[in-house]
Amino acid sequence: MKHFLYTLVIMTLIASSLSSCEDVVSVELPNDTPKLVIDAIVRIDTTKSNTMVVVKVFKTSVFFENNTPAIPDLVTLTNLNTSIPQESSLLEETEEGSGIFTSSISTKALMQGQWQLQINYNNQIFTATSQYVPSVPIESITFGDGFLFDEDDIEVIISIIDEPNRNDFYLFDFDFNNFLVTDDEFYQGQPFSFSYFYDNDDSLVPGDQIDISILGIDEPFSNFMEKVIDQSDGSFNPFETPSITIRGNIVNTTNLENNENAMSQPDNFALGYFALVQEFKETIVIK
Amino acid sequence: MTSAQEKFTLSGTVIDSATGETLIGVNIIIQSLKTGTTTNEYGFYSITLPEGIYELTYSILGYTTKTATLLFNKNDTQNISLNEDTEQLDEIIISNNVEQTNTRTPQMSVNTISSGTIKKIPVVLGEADVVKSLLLLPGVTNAGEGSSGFNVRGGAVDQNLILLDEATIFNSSHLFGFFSVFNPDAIKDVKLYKGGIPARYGGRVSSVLDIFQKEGNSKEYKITGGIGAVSSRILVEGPIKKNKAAFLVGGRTSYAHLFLPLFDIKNSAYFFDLNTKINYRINENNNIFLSGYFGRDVFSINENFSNTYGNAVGNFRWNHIFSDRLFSNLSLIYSDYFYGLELDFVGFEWNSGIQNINLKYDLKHYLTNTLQLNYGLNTTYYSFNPGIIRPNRPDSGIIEEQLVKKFANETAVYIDLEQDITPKLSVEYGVRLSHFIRFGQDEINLYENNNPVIFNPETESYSEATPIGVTTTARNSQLTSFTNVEPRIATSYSFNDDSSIKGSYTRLSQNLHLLSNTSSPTPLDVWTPSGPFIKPQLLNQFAFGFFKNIKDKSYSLETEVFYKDIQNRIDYIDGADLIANNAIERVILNGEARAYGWEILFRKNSGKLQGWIAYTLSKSEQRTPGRTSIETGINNGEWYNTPYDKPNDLSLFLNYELNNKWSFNSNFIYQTGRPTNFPVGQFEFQGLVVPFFGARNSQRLPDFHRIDFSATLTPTKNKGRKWKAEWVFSVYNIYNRRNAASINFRQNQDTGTNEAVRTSIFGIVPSITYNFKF
Repeated sequence: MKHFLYTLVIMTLIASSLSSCEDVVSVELPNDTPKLVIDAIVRIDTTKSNTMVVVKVFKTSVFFENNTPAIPDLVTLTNLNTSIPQESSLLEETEEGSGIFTSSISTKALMQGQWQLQINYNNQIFTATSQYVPSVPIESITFGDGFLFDEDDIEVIISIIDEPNRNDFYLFDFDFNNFLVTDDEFYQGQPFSFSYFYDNDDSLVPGDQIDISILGIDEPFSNFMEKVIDQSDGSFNPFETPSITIRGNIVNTTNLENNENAMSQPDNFALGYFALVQEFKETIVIK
Repeated sequence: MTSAQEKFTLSGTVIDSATGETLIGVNIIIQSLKTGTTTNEYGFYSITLPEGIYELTYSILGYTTKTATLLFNKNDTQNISLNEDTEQLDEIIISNNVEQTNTRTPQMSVNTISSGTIKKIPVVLGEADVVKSLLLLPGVTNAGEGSSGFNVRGGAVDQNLILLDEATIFNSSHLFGFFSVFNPDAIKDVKLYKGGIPARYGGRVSSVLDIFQKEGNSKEYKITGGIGAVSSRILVEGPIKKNKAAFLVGGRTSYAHLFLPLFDIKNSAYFFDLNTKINYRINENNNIFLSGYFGRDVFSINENFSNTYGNAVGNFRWNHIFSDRLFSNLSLIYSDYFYGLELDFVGFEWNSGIQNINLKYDLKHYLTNTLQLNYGLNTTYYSFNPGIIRPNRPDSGIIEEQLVKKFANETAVYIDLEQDITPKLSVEYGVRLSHFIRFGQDEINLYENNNPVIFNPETESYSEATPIGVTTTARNSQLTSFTNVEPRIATSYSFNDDSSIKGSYTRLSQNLHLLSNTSSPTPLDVWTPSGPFIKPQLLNQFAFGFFKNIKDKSYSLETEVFYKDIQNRIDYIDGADLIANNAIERVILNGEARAYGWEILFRKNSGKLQGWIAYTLSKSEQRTPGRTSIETGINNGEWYNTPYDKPNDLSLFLNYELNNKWSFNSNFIYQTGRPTNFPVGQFEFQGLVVPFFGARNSQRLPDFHRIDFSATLTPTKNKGRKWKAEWVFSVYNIYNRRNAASINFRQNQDTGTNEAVRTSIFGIVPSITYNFKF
C-alpha cells in the first residue's frame, strides 16, 4: 500500500513538472569491475506436475552497454530439507554461451523445504537459499474507462481476495516490464481491487494480448523488487532517494566453505535474486 | 554603575509616521557617550543614562533620520515616528536594503531582508518569494529549482526553525517547493540567524528564520495587491479605532491549473494563503495581537486522485510593559500541519499531520545602558499523527488503520545577557535549558537486544529487525526524556565606529526530526520526536568574523568563517522505505554531520546603484559508522557529501534606480552542482535494466548558474494620486541555460538503448506582474 502512496505522489510531481524538459546528455561514468548477475525467479504454476526452472547467469556491464552471458563452471539446485530425500539437480545451459540454465523439477518438490542455488564461477562459490511462497488467484480483470493523465490510457481493474491468515506480499507483473509490489497491511483478508493504467509508452492496440500475473513473494524479496522497480524507472523525480547498489540474496560463500570464521569478500559479490514464487497468470485481449 | 550620579530611563516605541507600523531594529545612538540601543521586534526601546542633556539620533535605512535633544532628569517616555525617506524614488516600496551592518553588537551571522527587497528580486514567473530571496545570501542554498526549503551553512532543511509571528511553520513551500508560503505583502521583517543564535531560540540546530507580519495600518485604510502570472493577491489594512487598533487581512491565490496543461482532463492544482491580524493598543503599557495564517495546496486529477496539504496557525500575543525598563511578551500559539491524500482508484484516503500548542513568555530587562537581560520560558506540546488510512468507498477492501500516534512536550527556560564591558568590547552570553519528554503511546515494538536494525555480515547490509513483542504505555507516562544545557556566547570588539571583529559559540539541540531520505523534503514526509530509539541532534557551532562599514556606511563588508558539528543526525539504511512506516526505528541509524566554510558579503547601500555580492566556500558532510567493529555503517562508515553540499556559491544582486519611472534589478547565481550518483554499472533483472551505484553522493550534477532581470515601471501619473501602481517585467534565466535538476539513467522504451537523461525545469521564463496600492 505504501507503494501506492509513494507512486501516486510522484505521479503528481511528474504531472506538475510537465513544463520541464528532458534531453539525452552524454555523461562520463565511473567504471567498476563486472559482477555476476543471477536472475533466478522460479515462477511456479501449482497445477503443473513439473516446473521448468530457468536461471540466467550474466555479467554486469557499464550502464550504456548490455550484460553479457557468464560462463559458470556449475549451476545446481538442491533441496536442503533433510526430512525428505535430498534432491539435487544440475542445471544445463540451453545453448552454449547463452548464460541461460534450465532444468525441469517436480513442482511438488519445489513447494517443500529450503532450496539452495549454487553457482561456481571463476573459482568463487555463490549460493542463495529460498523457499516457496504462495500467492492468491486473480479473481477478475476488467477494463475500465478511467484514465490518469491521458484519455488514451487503458484502465484495467484487478481484483483479488487476500488470504486472511498470513501476511502477504505480492508482486504484480503487468507485462511490458511493468511491475508493482504491494502488501496486505491495509487489506488483510479482504477482497481488494485497484486500477492499473497502461499509457502511450506501452503502445497497445486492439487485439493485443496482455499477460497479467500475481506472484507470492516474501518481505525481503518485496523490498528488493521495490528498489529494483524504483531504480530502473529512471524518470525525473524531484524527491530522489539516494541511489544504491541493490543487493539480493546471493552470497559469495567461497571463504565460508574453506574457513568458517572468514567473512565474505566485500567486493566480489553477485547481484540478483533467487526466489520460488507461486504465479497466477491471466491473459486479456485489448478491445 | 557605582556612579553617584543619578540615572534616568527613557523608553518608548518607534513607528512609521504614515502607517503607524512599529519599526524593528531602529538604531538609537547617543553619539556623545558612544552608546546606544535598537528597537526590539515590537518597536520598543529603553535606554538608561546619567542625568544630563543628550542628543539622540533615531535611524534606520529607508527612513529619514530623526534627532532629538532630550533632558534626562526624570524617567520618561518618548514615542517617535519616522518618515519614509522621500529621497527614495520608488513610491510603493520601502527601499531599505539588507540590514545595515551593525558592527557594534555581538550578534553575528544574521541577515535581514525587507519585504521591499524581496519584491525587487527577480524571480521565476514574477512571484515575489521570501525563501528564494534568502538564497541570494551567503551560506544559504537549496537543492535546486522546484525543491522545497533551504539549507543554511550546510545544514538540512528540517534544521531550520521557521517562525511566523513567533509560531512555528512546519512546511514553508507551496507546490512542492516552486513557491514559499509567505505572502510578501503581509510581511514586515525577515531575519535569518545562521549562527550565534541567541538563547531565546531553540529546537532546530541549523538556523532561525524569524518572520514578522505587519500589524496593519492604524492611520488609514490601504489596499495593496498584485496580479501576476502565478497568483493574484490582495491585502486590506486599516484602523479599527484610529491609532489604537488596526486590522490586516491578506489573501493570495494561484490560478487553478498551474503546471497542469492537461486541457481535456478535469484537474486542478492551486494554492492559497490567508493572513489575518488584529492589534489593539489598550494603553501605553499593553498591546495585544491576534494573528492567523491558513494556507493550502490542492491537487486533483480526474477524480482519481486528490491531495491537500498546508499549515494553519493561530496566535495571541500580549505585550506588557511592566516598567520603562522591563518589556514582556506573552504568546499563546496553535499550529497545525495537515497532509491529506485520496486515491479513488485504489479506494482509500490518507491523512497525516502534526499539531502543537505553544506558550512563550519572553522578558527583556534593560538594566543599564550597558546591560540588558533577556529571559523567558517556552513550552510546547506536540501531537504527531504519522498517518491514518480509511476506505473512501463502500466496496473498498481497505481496512481503517491508524498508525501509532506520538506525543511529546518540550519545555525550555533561558537567560541571556547583553553587556557592554567597555565601549569597544561587548558580550552576549546566555544559556538555554531544554527538557524534552516523549510520552507513552498505544504501541511500541520490542526488539531482541533492544536492537531494531540488524546487520547481515554476509551481504554487509542492514535490514529491519522483526519485533519480538509490543507494549502499550499510558499517555501520561514518560517513555524517555532528554535534558540539554545549551550555552551560547557571542562577543564583539570594535576597533572604531565602523569596524569590528566578532566571535561566537552556539550549542543547540533538536528533538524533532523530519523523516526524509529524498534530495529535498516532500509534503508527505512526517516529523517524528526523539524517543527510545532516536536521540536529540546536538550542534556545536563556532563562527568568527570581520565587519566593516565603509564611506559613511555607503558600503559594507562582512566576512565570516564557521565550523559546526552535529551529533545524532539520523541516517537511513540503504533503500529505507519511510512512507507509512509504523516502526521507523527499523530503518534508521544514528550518524553525525559536519560543515565548515567561509562567507563574504559586500554591499553597496546607497546611491542609484545598490546591491550586494555574496560568496560562500563550504563543505558539508555526514558519516554513519558501524555500531560495532563488524558493522560497515552506511557508505562503509566513510564521510560522504550531504545532498546539499555546494562548495562554491556565488550570488550577485543589483538594483538600479534610473529615474522616477524606471528601476532595474538583476541577479546572478552560480553554484556547484548538487551531489548525486552516477551508475558504476547496470544489471538486467526480469527484463528491467537496473543501474547500480558506488559510494554515496560521489558525483555531481553540472554547475548551476543563471541570470535574471527585471524592470519596474512606475507610471509618473501616480504622482499625487491615491491609486499607485507599478508594472514589473521580469525575465528569469535570461540566457536560457538548461540547468540540470537531475540526471537519470534509463532504458529508452522505443530504441531499447540505455541513456542518460537530463531534466531541466525552467528555461527562460518571461513574466509580467501588476502591483497596486490605494
